[in-house]
Amino acid sequence: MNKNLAIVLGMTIAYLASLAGMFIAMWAYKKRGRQANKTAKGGTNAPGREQPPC
Amino acid sequence: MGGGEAGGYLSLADWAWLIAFLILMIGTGLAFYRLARRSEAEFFLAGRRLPWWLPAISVFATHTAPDTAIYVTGLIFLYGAAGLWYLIFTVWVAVSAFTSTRIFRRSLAYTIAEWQNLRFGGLGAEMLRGWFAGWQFFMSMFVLGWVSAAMGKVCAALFGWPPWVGVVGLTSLCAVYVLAAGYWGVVVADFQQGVIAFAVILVVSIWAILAAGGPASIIHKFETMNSAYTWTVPEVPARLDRCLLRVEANGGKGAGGQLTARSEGYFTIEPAASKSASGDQATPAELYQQAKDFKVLFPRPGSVLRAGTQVKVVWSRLSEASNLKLWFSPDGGATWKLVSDRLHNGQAWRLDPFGFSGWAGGEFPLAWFLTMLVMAILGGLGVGTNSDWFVEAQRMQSADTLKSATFAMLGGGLPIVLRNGIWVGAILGLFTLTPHIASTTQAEMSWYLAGFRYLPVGAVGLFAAAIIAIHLSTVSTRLNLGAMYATRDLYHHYLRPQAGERELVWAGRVSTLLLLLGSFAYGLMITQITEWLVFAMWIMFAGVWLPNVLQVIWWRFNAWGYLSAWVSSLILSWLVVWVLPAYGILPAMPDYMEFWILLGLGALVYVPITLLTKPESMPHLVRFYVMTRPIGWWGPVKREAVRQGLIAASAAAEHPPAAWPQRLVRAFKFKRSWTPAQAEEWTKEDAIAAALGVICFTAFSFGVPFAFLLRPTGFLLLGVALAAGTLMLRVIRPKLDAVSAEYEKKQAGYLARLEQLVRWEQADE
Repeated sequence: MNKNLAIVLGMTIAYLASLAGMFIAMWAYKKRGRQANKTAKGGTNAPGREQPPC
Repeated sequence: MGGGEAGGYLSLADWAWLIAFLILMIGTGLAFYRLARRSEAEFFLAGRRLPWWLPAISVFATHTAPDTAIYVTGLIFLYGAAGLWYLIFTVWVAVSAFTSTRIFRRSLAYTIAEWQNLRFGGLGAEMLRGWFAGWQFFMSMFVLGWVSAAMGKVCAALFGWPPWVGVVGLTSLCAVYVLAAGYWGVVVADFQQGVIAFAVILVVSIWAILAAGGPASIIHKFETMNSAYTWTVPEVPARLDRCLLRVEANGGKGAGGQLTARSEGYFTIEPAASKSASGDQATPAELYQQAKDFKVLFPRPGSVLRAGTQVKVVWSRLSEASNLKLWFSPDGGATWKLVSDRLHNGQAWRLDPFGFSGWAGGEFPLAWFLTMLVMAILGGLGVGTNSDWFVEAQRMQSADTLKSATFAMLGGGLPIVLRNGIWVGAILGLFTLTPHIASTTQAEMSWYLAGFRYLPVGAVGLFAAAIIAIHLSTVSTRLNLGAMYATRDLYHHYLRPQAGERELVWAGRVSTLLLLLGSFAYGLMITQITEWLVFAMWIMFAGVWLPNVLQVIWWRFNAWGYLSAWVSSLILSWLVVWVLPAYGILPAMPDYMEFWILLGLGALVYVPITLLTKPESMPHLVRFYVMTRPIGWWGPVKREAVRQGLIAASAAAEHPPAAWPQRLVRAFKFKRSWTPAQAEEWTKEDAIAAALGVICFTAFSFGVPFAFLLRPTGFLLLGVALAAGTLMLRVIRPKLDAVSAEYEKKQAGYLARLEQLVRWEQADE
C-alpha cells in the first residue's frame, strides 16, 4: 500500500465516522422537532424558554 | 521472552517488581468500581469532585507515553538543546489556564462537542455536535492504535516480546480497570503511574549523566569533540571505488582564509542491492575525540559503505572555522557535488538553545519555531486548538471547583516541562557516550537502553514497570475519553435521551470495548496508515485551528462558519499539500508554510460564510455569555445581557484621568480584593498571569537541563522560573478565589439546565 492510498483510506474512515455522527444528530434533531410540534399542538408540556440561573 | 536488548537485564527481583506494580495499578483502579457505576457523571468525570492535584497528575501521566521518550531522544540527538523548542508547545497550557480553561469549566460541558452545542444553536449546532463526537470517537481509536503500536515496538526492542504483547496484551490489561471503574479507575491509576514515571525518569536521567562522566566531563567532551554530519550514502548504479569527501571552511590565518579537509584515501560505495558490502557503516566513537589536523576522519580510506544507509561523516574540529560545506566526489576528485552547506563546527553547538538553521531555510528554521509559538500561545485562548485539549477538557470538568480546574492545568503542564528538561540533560550526556550512532532508530532508543544498562539489579524492574505505566496511563485516558464522546453526545443526547444512569454507565462500557477492539485493528494491521495519518491530521488541523479560537473570542462566528471550516480544510489540505505540488502549480513547501497558507485559504471560505449566514440567536448567545463569560469581541451580547439585568455593567474600577507617571504606577499595581462582579471581568491580571505562566514554563524548560549539567545559566533560568511562577500566583490568586467562589453558587442551577438540554427537555431557542 502506498502512502497516498493509505492516507486516502485513513482520512475516509475519519470523515465517515464524523459524517455518521452528523447524520445521527440531524435525524435526532428532526425527530425532536416533530415531537415538539405535536406536543405544542396538544397544548400540554410545551417546551418553554428559561432564563439562565444567575 | 527476554530476547531483546534489555531482556537480559531483568533479574527475578526485577520481574517481581514488575508484576507487583501491574497488580497494584490494576487493583487500585478496580477498587473504584462501586463509585463509577453510580452515574454517567461518576463514570466519566469522577462526580466532578476531584482535588486539583489528581487531574493534574493525570494530565502529566497521560502525556507521558512510551513514544514520548523516543521522540524527545530523537529530537535532542538531531538538534541538541535547541530541540527543546519542539517541546515548548506545552506553554499553551499556561495561557489556557487563565483564559479558555475558565470559559470551558464554567460551561460544565462533558465534552467539547457539548460545549459547542451551548455556544452555537439550532440545527447547525446539533450537526456540529454529532460531527465532533464521531470525529473524537475515531480519533481516540486512532491514538490508541498509534500508542499501542509504539508500545509494541518498544517491547520488541527492549524485551524481545512479539509486537502483539504491547498492542493487545498490555492495552487489554488496562481496559480491565477502565471498563470496571471508568474515569475513577483512570485517574487513580494515573496518580500511581504518574508518580512512578516521574521518579523513574529522574533517577534514570541522573544515572545516565553520571555514566557519561558527570556534568563537567560532558561539557568538556562537547567542547572538544570533532565535527560530524549524518550523511545518507547516495544511490549508485554500480560499485564505486574512488569516492572522496571534502570539507571547506572559512577561517585559518588572515581574513578570508580558506581551509580544506579531504579524505586521506578512496572509499567505496556499494549499490543498495549488493550482497557483498562489508558494512563498514559505523563510525568508531574514538574518532570524535582525536585532535588532528584539519582532515576527514571517516569514512576512512578503504571503508565500504552501502548506498541508502546513513553514516556519520567525521572531520577535525577547528576553533576558528566557519561557513562549512561538505562535498562528495564519486570519481576520485574529477567532479564534486555539494552535500550540505549548513555544517556545524565541532559539537559545542549542541549546547546552544538558539541553534536554528536560519530564518526560513534548513531543517530547523526560526520561521517554523515562530509558527509553533503562535499556535501555542494564541491557541491557548481557543477551545480544541490541539489534540491534547480534549484530554485536558475532561480533567478540567472533573476538578471540584473553577480554581481547581486552573491549578489542574498548571499542575499538569509543569511536570511535563520539568520532565522534558530532565530528559534533555540526560540525553545530551548520553550523546557524548554514543556520538557515532547514525541510525535514527538506534539513537531514539538510547534513553531506554541507558536505564537498563546503568540501573542496579532490582531497580531495572521498577524501570520496566514505569515504561508499562506510562503506556497504561495514555491508553486508559483515551479509552475513557473516546467512550465519553460516544456515550454523552451520541448515545445519551441523540439515541436514548431518557436513558437512566445505569444504562448510561453500561453504554460507556460498551463504547470502551468497541474502542479497544478498533485500536487492535489500527495497532496491528495498518501501522503504516497510522504513521502517515499523523501527518495528514496535522495538516488538516491547520484549517480548523483559527475557527477553534474564533468560536471563543468572536460572538458573530456561527455553526455554519465552523462546519464550513472543517469541510474546506479537507479539500484545501489535499490541494495545497498533494495535488497542486504534484502538478507543479505550487512548489513543495515546508510544513510551517503549508500551515499559514491553509489558514489563510480556509479563512477565505469560513469568514464570508459566517457573515452571509445569520448569527446565532441573541437569547442563545446571551445564555452562553452569562454562563461562561468568554473573552474577546462579545460587545453586542454583553450589552444585551446587561439590558436584561442578567449581569452588571462593566464593574472594573473606573479611574479618573491621570498623568503618565501615575498611569505607569497603576499599570503595575495589582488588585488584591475583588467583588464578584469585578472578578467576572477580564482584566490585566489575567493577561499578566498568562504571560508570567509562559515565562515560567519556558525558563523551567531550559533551566532544568542546564542546571543538570551544572551550567550557571541553568540556575539563573531556574531562578527566573521560580520568580515568575511566584509572581503569577500572587497576581492571580485573589481574583481566582473570588471568581471561583461566585461561580460555585450558580453551579447547581447550571448543571440542572445542562441535564435538561442533553435530554431535550428544554427548548433552547
